[in-house]
Amino acid sequence: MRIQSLRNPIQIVLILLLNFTFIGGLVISPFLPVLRLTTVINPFVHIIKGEQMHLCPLGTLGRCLTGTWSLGLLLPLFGGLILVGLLVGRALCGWGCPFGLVQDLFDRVRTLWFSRKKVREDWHAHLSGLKYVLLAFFALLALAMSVPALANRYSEELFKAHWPDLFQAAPFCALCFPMDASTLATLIHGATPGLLGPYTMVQLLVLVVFFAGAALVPRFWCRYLCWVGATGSLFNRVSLLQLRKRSASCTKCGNCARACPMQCRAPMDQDGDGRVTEQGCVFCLKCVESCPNHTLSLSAGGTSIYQGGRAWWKRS
Amino acid sequence: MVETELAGLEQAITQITRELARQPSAEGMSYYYELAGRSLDPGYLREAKAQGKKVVGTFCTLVPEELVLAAGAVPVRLCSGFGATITRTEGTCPASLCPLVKSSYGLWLSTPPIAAQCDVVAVPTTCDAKKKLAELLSDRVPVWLVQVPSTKESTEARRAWGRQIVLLKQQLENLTGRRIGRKALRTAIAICNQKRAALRRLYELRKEARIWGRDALLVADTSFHDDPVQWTRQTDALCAEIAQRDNVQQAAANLPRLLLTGSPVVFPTWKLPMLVEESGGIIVADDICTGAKALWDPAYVTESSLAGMLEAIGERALSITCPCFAPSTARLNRLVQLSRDFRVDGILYHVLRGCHLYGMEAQAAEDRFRELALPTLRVETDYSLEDTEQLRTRVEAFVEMLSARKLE
Repeated sequence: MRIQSLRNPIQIVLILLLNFTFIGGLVISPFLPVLRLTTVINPFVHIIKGEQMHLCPLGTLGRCLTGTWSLGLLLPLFGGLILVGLLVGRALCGWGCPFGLVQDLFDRVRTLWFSRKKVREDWHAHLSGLKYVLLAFFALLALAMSVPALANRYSEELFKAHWPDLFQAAPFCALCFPMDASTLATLIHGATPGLLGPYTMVQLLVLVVFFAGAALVPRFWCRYLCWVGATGSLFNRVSLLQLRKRSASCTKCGNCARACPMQCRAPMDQDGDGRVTEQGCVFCLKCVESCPNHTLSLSAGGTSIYQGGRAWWKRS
Repeated sequence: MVETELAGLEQAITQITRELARQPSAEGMSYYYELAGRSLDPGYLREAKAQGKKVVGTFCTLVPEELVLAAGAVPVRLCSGFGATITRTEGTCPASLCPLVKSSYGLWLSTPPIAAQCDVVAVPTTCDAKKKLAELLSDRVPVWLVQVPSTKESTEARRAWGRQIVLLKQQLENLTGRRIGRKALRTAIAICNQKRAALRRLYELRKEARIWGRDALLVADTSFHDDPVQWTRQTDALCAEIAQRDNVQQAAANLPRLLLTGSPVVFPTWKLPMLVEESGGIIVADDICTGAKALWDPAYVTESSLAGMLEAIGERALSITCPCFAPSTARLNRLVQLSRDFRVDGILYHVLRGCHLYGMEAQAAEDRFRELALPTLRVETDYSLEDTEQLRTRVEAFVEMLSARKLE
């Protein structure tokens, strides 16, 4: 069984589990390092349930800090982030993120016409840092908004006028782009003219960036911009789940580097045995599967649990 | 004069094929004996020519077969194993030059049908001798120099090779007047990958010593002397035949198992595999250009766009464990992997006199094998038969030593 034909169904199942009220996923989802599918379904969920639970971890952070939600929720939030990070690193990005899935599907369509654009290595290295900058920026903003004076001032002057409920609760969500309810809901369900403000424009702009990026570069968003992914990336090097390499059988064929949507180089370039999980790795396992020589494997706590690429000659 | 010379070459071929046919590993081998018997005049080239197809001669393993096929042309490998043609190159080539290159040039000078039918020759710049061979040949036939990078471990080198593949594609399109499209390339990749898969299935059977090394090497050697689809079908049939038999090779199962590596062993210079198996050993695996090296890994397409497929076949070619790449860790890794997977007892390291790339890696390889407690026999020889008995003594002693170790 090819792991990639398993991955898309698993992505769909996990996305359903984590995003839909009827399975109870909404209760735990605000505490996991993965983006939410709030955008499209939001107006419906809003009617059913109220929109407050459809947040990424930073949305949760913001709401706790601004006092919309209890500060006590910070405990499960950080607990969730750290626990998931330590266990599976960034694997949720590859297996349970709706926006990851959208980009993966985009990729499939793209390859019918043209090849992915390879980002120059030095740019890639620099741009990869951008998501941490964004993470820090939004975290600091959330923190700033927790100061009542600031929060009041900003929500009064900047945000409240445009989108009262949302910004009062978690003002920095105003700058959060496609993920947030406002953007796609605005597009799909039609905007009330009064609700369209300068921040909606910012959100739309970033939405364009998301799709334009996905059209040219596999998982552009995840690589360079996703701050929620960044929280997982922080743990990639120490997580229980690891990609490992036995370089003795590596012939530098380049399959892994070519297959990787995150443009990781370590699986191919690194010499010597050991971990080759880069900060960007989303554990899609395309590299492991593409390896013709049994060089790469996925391990959990040091025990190998998946070694792909064996016996390709048996498949017709 | 040319006629008598060609007759001499034919005789060398017949002698070996007859010797092989005396004790074939399987009935299915007759196809390969026949193919080897027509080394100087492969039937499929004549057919292709009759259909108006272009023939692209290639050297080494690094010219992507897929591209040639996708362009509607026919590839044929021109690396020669004839000792007799070397005399023609005296004066042009230094005596100490690699016999393969001398022989290949000499073969061209004797103009057998295989040479006469080539519309163009693609020569990869793998070693110095091949580079100069390209120059010598360019007086007689259009030559494409396929520029192989000196390393596979730098991004720049890989990019340059990627551009070379695109250039080769354009050259082929100009030659045949046919554009290489996605569909054609996809089909060609599938054909070549099936060919590689067939060879790997055969090598799986070699793990159980179900086929003599001399025969398996001939299967691989002839893989560039027939239509790939036909060759694949025959090889699948051969695999099916030898997989079915029980105990036929039981005797071979306990023989000392050797890994053959180093310089190419090109038909009809078959003395090395013959000597090993006459001495009571069996070659179960190899890493030589005319053996599995060219066909070991498949092209792995991750992007189905045209550029993506070109990248995939380019990188597959680069994954070939040719010692022309420095550092050659990839090749040494492959050797270790092979010796484990095929549970070999010893290594036969073949160096053609004048083949410096393999010669200079012999020590590093031997060191790696020593770590695995595997003895290595390094043999330096050429295409002449004069040293056969001398070699026999050494090979026999080595095989005997391996059997003694095996009994312990």
